[in-house]
Amino acid sequence: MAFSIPIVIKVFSRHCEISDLTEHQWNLLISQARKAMLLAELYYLAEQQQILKTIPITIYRHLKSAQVHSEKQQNDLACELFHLIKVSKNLGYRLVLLKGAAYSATGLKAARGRIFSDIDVLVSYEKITITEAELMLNGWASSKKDAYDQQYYRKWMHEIPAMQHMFRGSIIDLHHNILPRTVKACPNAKLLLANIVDIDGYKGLCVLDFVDQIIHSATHLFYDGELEHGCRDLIDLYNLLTQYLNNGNSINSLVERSNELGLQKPVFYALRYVYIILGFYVEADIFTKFNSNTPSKLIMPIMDFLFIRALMPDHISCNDSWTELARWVLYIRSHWLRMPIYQLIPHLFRKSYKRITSKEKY
Amino acid sequence: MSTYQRVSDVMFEVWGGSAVIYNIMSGNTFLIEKFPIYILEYCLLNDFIDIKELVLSPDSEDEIIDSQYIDDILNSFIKMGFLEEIE
Amino acid sequence: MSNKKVDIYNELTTSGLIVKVGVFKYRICSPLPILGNSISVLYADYELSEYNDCSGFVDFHVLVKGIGGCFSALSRKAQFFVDDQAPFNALPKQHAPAIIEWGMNWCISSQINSHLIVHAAVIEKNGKAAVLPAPPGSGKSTLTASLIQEGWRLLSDELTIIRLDNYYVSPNPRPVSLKNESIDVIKDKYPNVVFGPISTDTSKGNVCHIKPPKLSVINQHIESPITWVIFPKYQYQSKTYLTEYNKAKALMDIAENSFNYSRLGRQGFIALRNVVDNARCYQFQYSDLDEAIETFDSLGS
Repeated sequence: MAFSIPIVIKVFSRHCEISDLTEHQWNLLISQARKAMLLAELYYLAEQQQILKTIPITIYRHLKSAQVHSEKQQNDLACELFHLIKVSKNLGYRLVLLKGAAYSATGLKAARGRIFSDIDVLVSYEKITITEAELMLNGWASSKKDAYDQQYYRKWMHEIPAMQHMFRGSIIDLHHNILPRTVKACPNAKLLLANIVDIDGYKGLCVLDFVDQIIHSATHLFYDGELEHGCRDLIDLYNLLTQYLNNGNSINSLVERSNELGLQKPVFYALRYVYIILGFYVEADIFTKFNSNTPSKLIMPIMDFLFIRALMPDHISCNDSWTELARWVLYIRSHWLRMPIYQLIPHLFRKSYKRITSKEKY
Repeated sequence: MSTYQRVSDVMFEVWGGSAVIYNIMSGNTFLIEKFPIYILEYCLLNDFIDIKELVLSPDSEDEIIDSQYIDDILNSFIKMGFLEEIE
Repeated sequence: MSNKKVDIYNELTTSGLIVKVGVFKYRICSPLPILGNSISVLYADYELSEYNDCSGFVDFHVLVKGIGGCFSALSRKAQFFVDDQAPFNALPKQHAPAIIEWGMNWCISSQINSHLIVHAAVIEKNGKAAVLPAPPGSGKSTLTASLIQEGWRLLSDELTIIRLDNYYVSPNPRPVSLKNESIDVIKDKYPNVVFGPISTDTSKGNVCHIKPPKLSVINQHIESPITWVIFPKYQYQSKTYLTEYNKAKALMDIAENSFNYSRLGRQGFIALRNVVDNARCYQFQYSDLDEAIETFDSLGS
């Protein structure tokens, strides 16, 4: 099962040093990094290694361009968070930021080089309606008009349809959990909300406990069907895990928490693939500490075959003849995990119909 | 009378009675034309804005400044994201 | 010359043809003969080379080919690709010369934030650059195409690339695009100008490109400070007016015509503030091309 590791992965896993690259190798690296939305991250990696000045100006320009774009996005996000502080004040309770917004607000390394799209916010299920109403008063409007979509989200999903601001265009995804209610492994949101942490400088906004942020990141990656940004997400996990250990924590406590939440499977996969693909060292006996819900030994070779391909950048040079199939299988898998079969088939049919008739953006 | 607080850092430049103002926080740029520059400078360079000071400024003698005019200006600045009214 | 033409064809259809434009290098691949023809005419004066393992870094790897996978040779439509992405819809194959030019512009305007990129023509005389921002229909292309035959150096007809350290213009001269009536105007006035193939019935009407003056290509490494910002407007039967334009308004107008002004954040504002402060800003209205050329001449002396 020989699979050729792309140069962008070699660089981020430090199998290949930036300073050793020839100009010709940079051609492919820039191309792959751009497609995987890792170009700004590459800038920061070079900056961290203090070699930015040694990179030829022709190449530096592209890294810098991506970094400028990502910095602007960070500033825009900070501006939106400022508006969310007001929303929180009016509501009288805190809003929990998730994923990229959380990393940025708390100054995590995983925030650098990110291209933000939506702002993910978590509140308890009981507070969804009132939070949605306050957001609407402040200019955000629901994006999905179709009655089926509205019902699908509100009945089965862990989030309501995305809300877009009428003037500023920012998008908020309002969640009441980190996985859909239809998923067997859907955690108890109260356990997550019990450990939230305030953010310095953002009164009324908070984040999940750091260990829960990592678990959320793993859950998002290994339950999500659209893996075009899987490579970026895997590198996020690598950065989060590195910072987690640097803060004096141990992987043991991560595993323990995943046991508490019933989210062993995504964390198992996360640890396995950051090790296999990015070389993040994990002791072998850690995998025995999960108390249940781990993939069987029989299925592992199949999952390895699928994920090693699907987690590569979505660039033609990173594909082999099985990559498209692998992505398709994992797409179906993610939907199968999220909903019972009697819902899955009509839902997939409806999605395909909408895509063929171009009613929904692919 | 209300006081106002500056909530965003700005950069601005004045040429021939018109000014461009860059709101550093929001990243938006605004054009203001035919505007008393002393009002602009007062609002954008001070952290707190007291309307009484504006009205009593020696520069205001050259213009007809009434409270409605100042209200309009300050509301514009609030919409541009520079100022906030303090209750 | 004929040797060079054969090489161009070969490189376009195999590993790629490298074209250096200003500070950027493009690697162009295409199986389409019409593109081979137009490139060999319009890019004859450029530094061209073959792409291989010793080529060094190339900024943009672009491809124009027929759509439809295995059936692309039979397809009547072609599409522009850069880095595995297709930013535009497919268009008739005979528009390939226009497609590649639009695509090469897109590469810079969408990816580059190391400079301020303004949708404007820019020309230079005696070491001083004049930037002409203008939305479509302002007559900018006809004016630019004329002025570069009248002693002005072409720095660009579409993208003004401004450095963020010294606010000089970094040239990227390429074939100048002309549309509809302006094609005949230039053909009549300047019979020696070399035209590429005309793409008829595009979304913009008839479009073609003219070969840039050789000196503009040879001197494309020479950067220039911005001395004038001139907003041109062609107005049928109008007299020629050159009126000073308030700098604050000029700044706003340039920002609106810029691709990445807001992405650059405060650097963008600082750059435009400097440009506008150091330049004379004008609005320019005209209908007579000769009078327009005269007006620019009097500026340039």
